[in-house]
Amino acid sequence: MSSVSAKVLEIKDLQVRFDTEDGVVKAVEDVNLDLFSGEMLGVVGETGCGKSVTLQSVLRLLPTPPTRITRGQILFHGENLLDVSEERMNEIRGGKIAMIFQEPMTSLNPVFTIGEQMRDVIEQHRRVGKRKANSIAIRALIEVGLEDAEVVLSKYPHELSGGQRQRVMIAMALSCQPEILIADEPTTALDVSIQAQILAIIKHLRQTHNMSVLLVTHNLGVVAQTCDRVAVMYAGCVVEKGEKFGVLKAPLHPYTRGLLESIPRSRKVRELRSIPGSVPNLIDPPEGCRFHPRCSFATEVCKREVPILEEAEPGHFVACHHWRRLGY
Amino acid sequence: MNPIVQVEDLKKVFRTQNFGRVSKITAVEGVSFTIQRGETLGLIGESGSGKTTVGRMIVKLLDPSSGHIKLDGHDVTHLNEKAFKPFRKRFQIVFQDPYSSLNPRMTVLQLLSRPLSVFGIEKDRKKQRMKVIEVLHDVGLHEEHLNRYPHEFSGGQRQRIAVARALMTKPEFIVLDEPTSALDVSVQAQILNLLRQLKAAHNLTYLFISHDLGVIHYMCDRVLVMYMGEIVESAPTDELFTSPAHPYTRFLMESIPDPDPELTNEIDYVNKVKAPQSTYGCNFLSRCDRALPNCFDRHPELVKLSSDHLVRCHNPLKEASVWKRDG
Repeated sequence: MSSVSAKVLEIKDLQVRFDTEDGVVKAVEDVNLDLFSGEMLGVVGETGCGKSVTLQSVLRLLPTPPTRITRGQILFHGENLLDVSEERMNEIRGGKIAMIFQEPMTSLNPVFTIGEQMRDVIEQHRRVGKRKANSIAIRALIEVGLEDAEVVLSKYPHELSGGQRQRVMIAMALSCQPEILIADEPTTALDVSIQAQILAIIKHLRQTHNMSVLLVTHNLGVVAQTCDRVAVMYAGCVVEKGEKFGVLKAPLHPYTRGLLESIPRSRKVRELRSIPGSVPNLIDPPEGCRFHPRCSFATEVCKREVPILEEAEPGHFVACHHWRRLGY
Repeated sequence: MNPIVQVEDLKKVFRTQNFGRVSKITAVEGVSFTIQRGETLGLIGESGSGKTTVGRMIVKLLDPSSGHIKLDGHDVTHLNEKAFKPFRKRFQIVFQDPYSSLNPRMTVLQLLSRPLSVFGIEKDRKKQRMKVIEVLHDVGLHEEHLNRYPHEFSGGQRQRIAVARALMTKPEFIVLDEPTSALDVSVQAQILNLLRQLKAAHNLTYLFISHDLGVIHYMCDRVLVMYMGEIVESAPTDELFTSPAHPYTRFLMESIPDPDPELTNEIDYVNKVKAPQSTYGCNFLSRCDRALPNCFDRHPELVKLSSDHLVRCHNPLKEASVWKRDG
């Protein structure tokens, strides 16, 4: 798939730190991710693994201070977004790269109607007048399945359901014809049936608009059913990435394997496999491999040396000293 | 022997006031079921289906608008707080969010010894401490945690503390209200395993409330499916998952994204769901693709398909399940 298409976004050696009263949080450590034209890449991991921080860095949404991006580049068609002016960033943010968030209620302004908010964004990024903006908004709402678009435009966010609000957010993102859509846990706050709809909409739009999508989620099911490739993050590092069939059907990292095994499926399983312990505090992360205190395969080398991300199979990368031993 | 919990025709109406306009919301309508000693009954539904309200009424954190609740054969529906107190000790609840259910100003020792004092189980400080340590061990925590405050713990550890608090009074029955939905999946697995171990070790009976079908399948013997305040299906877990009869149950199953990329459900979700509501007919009508003429004008009753499989549907499904996760 992606070998022939162009890279639209490249995150290179990204390192992010937060200064807090308790010390420096090493939130993201040398993360490398590529996004190709038209593909959907899932970034999965548990709370505090750095997945949201990584993607928010792309649009420079994190407040500085306390955030410091201490190393790395974020290349959008070769242009380093970490260096560009705030003016240029404003064009890209929402225009070329759009983002939707977990809680659609807090990302919409409660005192303006949906129409006012959508028109604002469209006028800004597409440089069109009010009437044109209005018709663009209506078309976008219909595309995300809100058929009575004109009624929706006149409503305030609180008058819509959670699923409707998330659709409005997607329509708003879509109306500026972005090349990249970043979706940060877009369905986590929603019921499963609504989640299925929202994911179906994102998948559909990506095809019809040839968008690239970066989807952040903690739900491996969501990745399996929507993405082409997946990157698994743990404690600020990418531990495994590749095509979803490779990563989810034959995982090479003990963490990925543990995550998959801890999903409850059937009562015929006598006991669920779980990963012992919990996510480390990133002010003082474990030396060497950050997963080693929870890993049943850990040896001395894991405590000393940070494993590098190596290509185990074509396109399938893993950062583990022992992946050869764990192969299927 | 009496069923440990028996609920008859339970109804709950909430009154809300919005700028002086009073409106009524029926959260739970005509819910009846029994829970036998030693079983884990699952209660599944989406947000707003009334599942949490049912759980809270059983332990009398909410009073029903009508209907009856019998705990171990005693009708407790109209008991006042004082008369209900002995039942409180035997019927406990664990809440969804361990970040808000533990008082941040109390240490673990204080949190866990409180039930001992309140119910007059143990007044002596030293003996309280010993009992607390014993239960802490049961939930996988240790003596060194006694003097710490909730904020010093991770989400999973906090939920262990919340479970420990429920266990302090040696209850027979616990309502588990989405006990793992605030937790990460690897930690969720730890807590689910712990709950299964505790159940076996202490002869507990659970009402397990969740919106996650995978969790329900792993934990429960029997399942009730709720939709808009009503039970729409009730069956033993295996039967429910292999032959769901209500279109809503199947719809829920199909909506779950499976972590196996080779198992896909191709449904047209984009256009499937419209606004739910109908005045006379079935509540699920507007989302249903199997509706018959009488679904529009007659509200379906809960009918028996077999001795332990009930469904509220005029046109129940007969084909096999979409649940591919077994084996």
